[in-house]
Amino acid sequence: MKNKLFGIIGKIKLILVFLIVFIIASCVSEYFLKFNNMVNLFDQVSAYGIAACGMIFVVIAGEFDISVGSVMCLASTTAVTLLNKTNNWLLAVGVLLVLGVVIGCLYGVLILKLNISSFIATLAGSIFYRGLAYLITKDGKPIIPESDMYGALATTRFLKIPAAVYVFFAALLLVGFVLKLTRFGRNIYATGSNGEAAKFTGINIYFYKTAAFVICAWFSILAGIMYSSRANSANASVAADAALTAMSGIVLGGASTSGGKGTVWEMFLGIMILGLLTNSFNLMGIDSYIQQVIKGALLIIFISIERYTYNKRVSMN
Amino acid sequence: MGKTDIKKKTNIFSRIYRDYPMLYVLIALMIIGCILSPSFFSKVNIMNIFRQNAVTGIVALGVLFVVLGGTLDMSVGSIMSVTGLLALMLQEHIGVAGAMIAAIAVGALIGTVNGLIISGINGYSGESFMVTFGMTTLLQGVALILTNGNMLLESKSKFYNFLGDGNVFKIVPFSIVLFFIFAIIVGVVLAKTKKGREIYYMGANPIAARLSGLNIKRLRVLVYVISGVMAAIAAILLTGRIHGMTPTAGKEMEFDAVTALAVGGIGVSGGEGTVIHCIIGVMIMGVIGNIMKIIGISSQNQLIIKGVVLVLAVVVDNIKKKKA
Repeated sequence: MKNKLFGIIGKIKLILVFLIVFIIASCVSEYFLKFNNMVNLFDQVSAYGIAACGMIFVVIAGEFDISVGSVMCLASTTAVTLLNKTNNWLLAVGVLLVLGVVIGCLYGVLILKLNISSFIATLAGSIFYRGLAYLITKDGKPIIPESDMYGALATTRFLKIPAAVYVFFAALLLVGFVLKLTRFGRNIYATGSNGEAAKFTGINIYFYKTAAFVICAWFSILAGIMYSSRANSANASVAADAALTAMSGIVLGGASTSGGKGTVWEMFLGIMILGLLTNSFNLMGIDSYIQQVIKGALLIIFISIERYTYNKRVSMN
Repeated sequence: MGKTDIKKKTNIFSRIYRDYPMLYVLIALMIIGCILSPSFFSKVNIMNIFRQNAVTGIVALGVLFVVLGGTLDMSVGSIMSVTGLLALMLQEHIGVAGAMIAAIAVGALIGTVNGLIISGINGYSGESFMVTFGMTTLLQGVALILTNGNMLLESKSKFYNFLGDGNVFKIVPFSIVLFFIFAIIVGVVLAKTKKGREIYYMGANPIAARLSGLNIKRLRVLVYVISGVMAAIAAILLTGRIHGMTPTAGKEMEFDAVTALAVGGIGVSGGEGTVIHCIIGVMIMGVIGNIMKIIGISSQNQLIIKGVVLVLAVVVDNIKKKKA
């Protein structure tokens, strides 16, 4: 009973915070409620948001992945280079799918078979994959896609809303469905909340955690494509704060860093709250460096609160 | 009959292999370096390796305390940026010595905050990683604010320049001498003092340590303060070496320091490792960097190799642990 109460209070708290931030934002700037700004808000949030949709699998399974930004860069540079050379979209999609599987399985082996902790492994991965992206760009210069269709991927507007936003919402729906309504999703939760117990019920932890990393890689790749499509250039040096932002949104949304908890809709609220803050900071003209300080502070605060309440809950039980 | 058997097995070479296996890796790398370039073992090149890696080494000494205690500090790079910038910017106001003291004090302060937060949430490796990850973003923003985005702040102090770039005995860089002095102090503290043993205990078995009455909170703050102070000192040396400071100077330092420790054979889970492992790890990273420069690998491609090296080091360490 008590756990359910915590869950409901948690959800209400989140919606409350969202509304408060929303109201403050609309008071602070007259441009906030304008349609263009709202659309911009969702557009800005969508790139890292898509990555977060994949990352939440890893977090629920009880691990970390901070290589999200680097995979985004690797994906975009690979895709644009391939398309520029061969103009074969099917090939590009195929290569990206395989890339996601390779990245995810590599993490699976490192973390589960060789027992490396997930943040060391993904830290090394973040350096390694970004290095690969630099290698592909040959001297760090951004690659411009030759086909006009690439830039249109994320920016074509339907009903005045860019395609990237639709992709983001589709990702949210898909991930929400899988996590809540499929056995696969339930097993991911089981793996994260108590790995040992899950093993005894016949769940193959290795498979599920590896699958989580593969899914995370796939969504990071998709996010990378959206990001580079919007900018119409593939860069090896961008998205350095992707992991930080996605993680902040996920933790703010109530997912536990020890795994087994968290839903997509709470994550969505968390991401939106952060997006609202960024949006209003931009409207208020706050320096981007100051924004960086605030973002770092927020992650520390969210993690601290989450851990503190987790410890309290554990000691109460 | 049994006694003589055991005596045979513990000759000095196998003892080195048991305790410091990476020393053999270091020697192998140095041999590779000699093969690749005849001037590898020249005084100039060796001193260059020392000069390039003294800064990383000092940072690694600080992070060593944190890792031995069982947690991680991913914020040392940006602590370097902030304290280094402060040390430069305050020179005109409170003098060179005053600026250095202020910078070190700020490093200690940041370390205190890190330690308080992490001990407050009962954090171990995962939580400390995220908290210091957030801290590094925060401090990086502070560093950028301090310089207003300008990339380089010039250093006019001759004293700083000596610290970072100067030589004693004409060719030995002062910075590496400082590193070895610190290393000796760290070695003595870890091996011979009560606090040192307490840190090992906390890293090896935090629950037992707490139950046996150790003040984990205070120890945790202590290790992060040491890490912050060493980062500040390293920043001052770096300022001297590059004759200035940029807000992003420390960007890869946290990765380099953790990799050096892992390569040297210090487990990230804490409770194991000595300062000798740290020195070996730093030297290995230095030699690898030097070899990559000799081959002509660009600094961006070196990133790829560094990532692989980190993974290999941790894998080897884990395999060794499994065998034991």
